[in-house]
Amino acid sequence: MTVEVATERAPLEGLRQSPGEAWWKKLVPPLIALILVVAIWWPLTIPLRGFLPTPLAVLEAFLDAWTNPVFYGHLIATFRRVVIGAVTAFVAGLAIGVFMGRSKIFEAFSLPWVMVALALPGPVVILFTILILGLEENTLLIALWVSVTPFVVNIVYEGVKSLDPDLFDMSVVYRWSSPQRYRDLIMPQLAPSLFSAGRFGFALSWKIVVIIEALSLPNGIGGQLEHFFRLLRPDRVVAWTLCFTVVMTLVDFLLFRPTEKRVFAWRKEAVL
Amino acid sequence: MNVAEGGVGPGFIEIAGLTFRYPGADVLAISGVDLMVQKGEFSCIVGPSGCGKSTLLTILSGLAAPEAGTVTIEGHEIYKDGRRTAEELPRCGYMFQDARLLPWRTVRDNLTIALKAADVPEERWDDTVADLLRMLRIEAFADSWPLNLSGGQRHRVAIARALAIEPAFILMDEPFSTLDEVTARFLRTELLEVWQRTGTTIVFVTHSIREAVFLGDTINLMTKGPGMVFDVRRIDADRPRAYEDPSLAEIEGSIVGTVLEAWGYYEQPTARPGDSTG
Repeated sequence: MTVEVATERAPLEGLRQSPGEAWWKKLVPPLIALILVVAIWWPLTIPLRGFLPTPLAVLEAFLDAWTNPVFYGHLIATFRRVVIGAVTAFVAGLAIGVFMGRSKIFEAFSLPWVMVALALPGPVVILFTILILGLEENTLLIALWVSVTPFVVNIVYEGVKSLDPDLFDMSVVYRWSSPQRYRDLIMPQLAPSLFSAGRFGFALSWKIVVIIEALSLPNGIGGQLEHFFRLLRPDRVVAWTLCFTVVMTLVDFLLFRPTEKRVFAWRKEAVL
Repeated sequence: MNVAEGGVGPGFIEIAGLTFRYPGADVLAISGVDLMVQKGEFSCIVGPSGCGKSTLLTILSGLAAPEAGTVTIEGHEIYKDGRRTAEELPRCGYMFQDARLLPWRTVRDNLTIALKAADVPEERWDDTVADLLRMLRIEAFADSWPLNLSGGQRHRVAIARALAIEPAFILMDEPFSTLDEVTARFLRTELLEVWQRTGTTIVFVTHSIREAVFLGDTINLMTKGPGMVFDVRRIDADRPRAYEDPSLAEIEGSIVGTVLEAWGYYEQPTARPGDSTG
C-alpha cells in the first residue's frame, strides 16, 4: 500500500501573520502616549513652578548630560553596580529556585525564608544593611542580593514546579544524561521564567542601586540625583533619571529582546 | 499458554505474576499478569480503560517498579519477585499516546538527542536520521519545528525516534488513538512495513480489538482492572492484511464475544459492547 504524504499537510499553514505589518501601527500609539504625557506635564508646571521643571528645561539638561564627560563617569559607575548586582542575584536565584523546585526537603526549608524576604520593603533592607555594615561598596551588593534574589527565586521556583512530567518520563525512557536533561528539557521550559526574572531583577537592581547611592555613595547616578536635589535643580534630577532609563531601555533592546527572539524561534515561527 | 503452543522457542519478554499498585492507592493497578512475547513478534495487549495495560508498559520501560512478579527480557532478569535486579534493561523505544517531542528542537534535533542519549556513535547520526526520515516519508520536515507539523507527521517522528536508538524492543501505548481514522490507518500500514523491514519486537497496547486484529501476531486479552491476561489469541492471517477481510472480522467477532463477559458488559445491559473500533 502506498501512502501519499501530501494529503497530510501541516494544517495551519497560511494562517501565519504577514511579516510586513504596517509600520505606522507600531509607531503611532506610543507617539500619542508621549504627546499625552507632555500635554499633562506642561500645564502642571505653571502651578508647580520651582518644583516641577518644564519639559523644555528637562530636554536641555538631558542633552547637556550626554555632552558632559562627568556624566559618563557616574553612568559607568552605576551601570557596573547594577550589572554586577543583577547578574550575581540572578545566578543565585536561579540555583536556589531550581533546587527548591527539585528537592522537597530544600523546598520546605527555603519557603519561609523566601516568603519573609519577599515581604521585606526595599528601604528597610537598605537602611539595616547600612546600619550593620556601614557605608561602603559591599553594603550595596548585599542589600541588592537580599532585595532582588527572593524575587528571582520565586519566579524560577514557580517555573520549575510547572515542568511537564510527561516529557520528563520520555527523557527517562530514552535514558538522557543529567546534563542533557538540564540543557534540552529543563532550561527550554524555564526560559519564559528566566526572561521575566532577568528583566525584573535588572529593573529592581537599578532602583535599589540608585537609593543606596543617593543615601551613601559619592559617585554614581543616585549620588548625583541627591546632589542636584540639594541644589534645587529638579530639571537635572529628571533629566539624569531619564538618561539612565534610556540606558536600561537600550539593554532591553540590545540584549533581552534579540536573545528572546532567538530562544523562542520555535514558538514565533510556529503558528500555534 | 497459547503462545507456547505456537511452538516458538523461549520468550523474548517473559512476565510472571506481575503486580503493581500506585503509591498511596488502596487497589492494585494490575494483579498477577503473565505474558510472553517472542523475538520479532508484534504482540498486542487489549483491555478496557483502567485495566492497567499502560501501567504494564511503564514497568517494562523501567519507569516504575512492580510490587511483585518477575520480568525477564532477552534472558536478563530485570525484576525478580518485585525487586529490580542489577541486570541492565535492554534498550527500549517507547511511543506514547501523544508524540511527545521537544517543541523547541527541530525534527532532526529530536532524533539526534535520542541518538546521543543511546550512545550511538556521532558519525552515524546523519545517516541514521536521513534513513529513518526517508523510511517514514518525512525527510522534507527534517529542519521543521514539531509545532509546524500535523498530528500524523509528529507521530511519524516519534516512530523514527523509537527506531533510531536501535532498540531491543519497542513499547507502544495507544499511539494512534488521538489521530483521525484515516491518518491512523496510514500510520498502521507504515508501522507494519517498518516492523517487517527491521524485525523489531513490538508490544502494542490498545483498547481497540479491530486495531489489534489488524496489527498483531498475538493478542493478549486483559480483564478489567486490576487487570491480568486471561486469554491469548494467535492471529495467523496472512500479511498484508486488509481491514475489510472477512476472516479478520470473524476473529474480531470471536474476541468481542469473549471479552463481553470478562469486561462485565453483561452486567450492564445499556453498554454498547459491539463498538470495538475505539
